[in-house]
Amino acid sequence: MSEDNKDDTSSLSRRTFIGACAAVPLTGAVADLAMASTADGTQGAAASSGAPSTMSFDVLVVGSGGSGLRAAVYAMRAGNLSVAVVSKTMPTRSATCMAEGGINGVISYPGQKDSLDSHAFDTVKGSDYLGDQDCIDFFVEKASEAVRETDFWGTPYSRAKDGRIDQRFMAGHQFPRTNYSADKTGHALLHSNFDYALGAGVKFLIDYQLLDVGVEDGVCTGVVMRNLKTGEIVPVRARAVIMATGGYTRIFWTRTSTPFIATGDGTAAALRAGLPFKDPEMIQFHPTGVAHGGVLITEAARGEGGYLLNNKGERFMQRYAPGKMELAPRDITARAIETEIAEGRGFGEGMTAYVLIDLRHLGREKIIERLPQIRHVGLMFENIDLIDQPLPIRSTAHYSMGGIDVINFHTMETAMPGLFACGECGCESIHGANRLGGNSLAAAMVTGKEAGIAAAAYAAKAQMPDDKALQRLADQWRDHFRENTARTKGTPFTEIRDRMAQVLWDGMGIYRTEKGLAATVEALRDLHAEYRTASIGNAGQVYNSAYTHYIEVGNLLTLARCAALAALDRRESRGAHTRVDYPKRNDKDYLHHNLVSLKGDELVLNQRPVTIVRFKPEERNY
Amino acid sequence: MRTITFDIDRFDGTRSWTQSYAFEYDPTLTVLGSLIRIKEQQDPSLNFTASCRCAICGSCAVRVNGNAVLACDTRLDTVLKQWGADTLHISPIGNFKVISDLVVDWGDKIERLRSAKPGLKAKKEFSADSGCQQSPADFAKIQKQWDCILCGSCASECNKLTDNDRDFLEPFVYTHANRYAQDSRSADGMVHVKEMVKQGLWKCLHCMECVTKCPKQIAPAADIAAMRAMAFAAGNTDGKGPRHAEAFRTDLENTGRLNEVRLVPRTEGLIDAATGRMGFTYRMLKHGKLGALEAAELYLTDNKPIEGIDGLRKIIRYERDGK
Repeated sequence: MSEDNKDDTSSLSRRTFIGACAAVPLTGAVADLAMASTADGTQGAAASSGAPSTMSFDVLVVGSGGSGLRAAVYAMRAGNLSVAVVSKTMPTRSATCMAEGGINGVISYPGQKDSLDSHAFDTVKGSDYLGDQDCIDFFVEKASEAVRETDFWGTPYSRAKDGRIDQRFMAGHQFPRTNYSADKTGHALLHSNFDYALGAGVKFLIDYQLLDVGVEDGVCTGVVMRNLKTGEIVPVRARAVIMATGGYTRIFWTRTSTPFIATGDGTAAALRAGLPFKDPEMIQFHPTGVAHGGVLITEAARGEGGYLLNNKGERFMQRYAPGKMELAPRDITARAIETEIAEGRGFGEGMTAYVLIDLRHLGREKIIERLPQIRHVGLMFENIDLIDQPLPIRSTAHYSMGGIDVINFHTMETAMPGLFACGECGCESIHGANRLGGNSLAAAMVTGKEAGIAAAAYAAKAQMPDDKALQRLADQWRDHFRENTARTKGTPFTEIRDRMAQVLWDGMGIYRTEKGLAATVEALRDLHAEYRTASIGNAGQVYNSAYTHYIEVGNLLTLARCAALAALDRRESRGAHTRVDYPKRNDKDYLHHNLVSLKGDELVLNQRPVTIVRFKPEERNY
Repeated sequence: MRTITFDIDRFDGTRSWTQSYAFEYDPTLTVLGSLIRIKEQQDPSLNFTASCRCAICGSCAVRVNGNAVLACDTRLDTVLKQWGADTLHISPIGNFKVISDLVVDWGDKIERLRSAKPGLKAKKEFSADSGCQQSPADFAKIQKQWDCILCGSCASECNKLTDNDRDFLEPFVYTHANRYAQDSRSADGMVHVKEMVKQGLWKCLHCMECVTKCPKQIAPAADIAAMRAMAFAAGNTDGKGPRHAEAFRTDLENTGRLNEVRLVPRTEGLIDAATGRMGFTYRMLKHGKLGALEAAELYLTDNKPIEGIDGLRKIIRYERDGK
């Protein structure tokens, strides 16, 4: 390695060291950091054989979206703890910023008819009775608190005339209880939490990629990360680790609305560390995303009167929801679009097949005035002006209901002491088989806060773990980097990623069948094998984004295999999970959570009953 | 086949070079789509950052022919037409440390943002339990500043930062400070203003690059001006910056014209100006940029008032005194 690189490494180490020490560490455990390992993987093994040489924090948050930032703030508020947020990008690039609609939370004011009970019932019903009802009761109460608290912390909310936060209606709710900030609520919440975290003194480790979780005697000891700036692979000890790495709908790669970076890294690392992945088959689809890349065309397009057209120019919703036409609920509309394409009435083929959304009859003025953002997305992604032409659209994967198995919704703890999970990457389960609009931001704020409080309390009592397991893992990852980047032959791994997306869209998309899912399980196994011999195309140390993405694709493959296995086993239709061969919900056999674990390279499926408290399962009609 | 060429500034941590990539013209591409196509079809070693791909996460700002744009929000066709060429120079945004290729380091930028004391300290009558009250009009006052996506475009071509970034912050930092300074929920907006006065609020050169480059149509320069006005109103009139602004206003009120000879001594004080600006004045005289007699006359007698000065004075008084 060059002299320059060495300098860079040591200066970064010093800075991180100062950062780690600046916050007063707990019970005299000095944050020692003498990164003996070098940026060059080949020397890593020698370096790791020496004395303990790792960064350490009392609470380490992995992921910097809404839930991660809020967890960090609350861990910080406990006092006397060193808290850091790790992120593979600059902190505000997460999926949270893309949420538009709002954050649910019942706010009391004169004349208010809404209640916590009503929010709880709507959430339970929305979840198709797969949500745990004790957890949902807790959630709705805390969601209401979170809205008022974020207002107090600076989130800019749109206001009603009397000065209270304004609320809007979202589908599936009986009352308007979605608090919002214009059409940028997620952005407003993310940035106000980020500002607050900066003010609270939270440290940020930017451009670090999570590789694995360290475990010793069943206890979490920290994480292994890759410093993207230098290529160095570093163990980081932590008394408590909070996973806040978001969802995994990127398994559909070009057919998802979520950002490139949301690749389920934390969920995959937790799986490898031995934790179950709960309800992985529960993935929500939004009916309208642009044909190329899956960016969302919001419901406003249909709400304002847009038509959905097939290749015959027919308003095909006539066949599926003659009463509501284009205003039918999300799942019905999504299924209708897929049916049209499957039965040859769409345009194009494969992953870029599509139907059209037509706004022309609304007129130029209305489009410019009411739907400027949608028109802009059309111009950017399809080079189409909705004033003159209809836009190619198709359904797009939107939200992951499943996630790391959280066993205590008061604390967000997992079965592994020291490891907590919050936000979209955790599954408590609030959303069950289907999430309601506005509940994702609420869940991020609620679960982030509880995780932060509980992790801080845990860290205050826990010993700083040793780094043996972490050093071992770090060595393995150094080998992994060297071996995998050295390969010059093999399929480019991005090709495998695209095939994975196609296999999943066809076999585990909006419509699922026994045959299709069985084939998907097989195809994913083969793809995962081929992935291991695929070529990366870059062996550099400094910010090797090809290798970063290679790891991400590996994580997605692992998570996709879990989802396919659980989807195959769930022989019923519930919420977002639609089995053509089992069109009805079956509470007798399937009112349970699926838990997929990794044993070696094999997947093991277990079940856990759903917690029912007040609301007996009934048919979900709207 | 029409071929488009991207000349991309590369950096691998030690070595810098410019690499040309040619690809087939495709009218559906954005600048980001073009970069992804190059990375996935030609060169996996090319590094850049992108996340949401719909202009809300701020990851993908790059320079096209020296001007910052959001790559995902800029159609290839638009920049090809803008520059009238099929070859474009793509480089990382300016005034940032480069990590690799088009990837820049946000580490110290975030620490500089921290210095704006972000986060709301709400008024006493509000609480975490019951939230705040705010009128729709007061929300509208801060809404634009909250559109900032921290993409760094405003900092990229900021001439003040390029000249000296030790006494000035990135334009987005001032925008962040101002959104708390102007927030009707804030207990004391001046906390943020005072901090920004200490950190270069009066150093902005008014080049307006930040305003033209912001992909969200925010005007950081206007945020700077708004906080200067708050500082003034709160009686923070000491220092070169406030005196410079006051000198402008005095001239306008007196004659409607700027008296540049009086401007420097008024801003810096007569003695400082006389001693500190000797060399500068000499060079101006030597190159014929300033006539000694005219300067002396202007200093002593001032400009003649412009036609309609009474109307102008009325406007200035209204702006200052509110009547």
